[in-house]
This record gives sequence, structure tokens and C-alpha cells, in this order.
Amino acid sequence: MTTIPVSESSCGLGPRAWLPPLLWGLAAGLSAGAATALFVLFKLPLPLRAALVALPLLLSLGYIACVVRMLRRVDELQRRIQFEALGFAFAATVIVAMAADLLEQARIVPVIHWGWAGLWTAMALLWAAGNIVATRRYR
Amino acid sequence: MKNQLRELRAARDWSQGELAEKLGVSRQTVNAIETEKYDPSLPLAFKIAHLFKRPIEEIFSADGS
Repeated sequence: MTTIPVSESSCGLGPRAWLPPLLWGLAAGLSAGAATALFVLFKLPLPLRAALVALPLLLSLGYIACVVRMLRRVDELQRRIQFEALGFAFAATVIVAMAADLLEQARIVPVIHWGWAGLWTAMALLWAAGNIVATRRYR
Repeated sequence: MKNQLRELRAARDWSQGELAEKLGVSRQTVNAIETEKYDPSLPLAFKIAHLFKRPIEEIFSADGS
């Protein structure tokens, strides 16, 4: 496989490499937020509601495709760092979600409906944290 | 795994960046291999051996050997 070295930053990828997935992610999140708001505010016909559901999903697919493309461009160490960070984020998100749910059920903390947005935010933050840890390991 | 990458690079007076460019990897990868924090894949190890015109086992060796 051809590898193209990319400029480095503290996270092992140049800042510009993160821009496309960030924009796709933001577009997906904003469209989902807008769709939710529209569902609450207006009584929309079924085709429009279906389109509003489909839009963030399509943008999310674009986001995933963008991340995969980014991972294919980086070299083997950077790819390992990203996979370690993603693995950490996936496992840690499950634990965080479980802990939050149990704490809510035990009425130790007030019930907050985190929803998918909370889950995605937690995963993104944990991915960033995993990135920092994995990058330091190979520095 | 132990390796002679730093010595071989120094003998040619190449910077880590120059070696990284020749290998098609990032400078961070060259540094991680030199400091033995990361073992390269077999294709990359062969690429390194080919670049320095040495048998692969002369550059890389197991920790115990």
C-alpha cells in the first residue's frame, strides 16, 4: 500500500487532516439538531420527516468515509495510534454510558437524557484523549 | 526488538526527516523505531533493509539474541 507522509502535530496528524472529518461531523450533528427542532416545532408531512431523518444519517456516512480515507493516508505507526485511540474510546464510552445509567437508576445523580448526541460527544472526547495517550507512548 | 537504525542513519549523515521521506513514513515513525518503542511491519523492515543494502537480520534482532 502506498503511504503518504503527512505533516505531524502532537496527535500524529497535521491539523489540516482533521478539518474534513470535523466539518462532516459538525454538519451531521447540526442537521440532526435542526431536524429534532423541526419535529418539535412543526407538524411536517411524512416525506419531509423521512428526508430530515435521512439527511443526518447520510452526512454521518460521509463522516465515517472521511475518517476511513484519513486512516488510509497515514503511515503504519499513525494508523496504530488511531486504532488504539478508537479502541480506547469505544470501550471507555461503553463504561461511561453504563456508569451514567447505573448512577441515574440508583438515584445518585439526577436523570439526564443523554441521547445519541451525548454518546457521540463522549466518544469524540475519549477518542481525543486516547489519541494523546497513544501518541505519547510512541514519542 | 533491537535495531541498528540510528547507527545506520548516522553513518549516512541523514536526519530522521530525510530517512522518513525515503521510507515514505512520518518522522515520528522513524523516531519510534530508533528508540525501540515501535517494531516496524515486515514490509517496512524490508524497505529499510533494502534502503541500507543490508540483510534484514543485520538491522533487526530479537531482544534476547
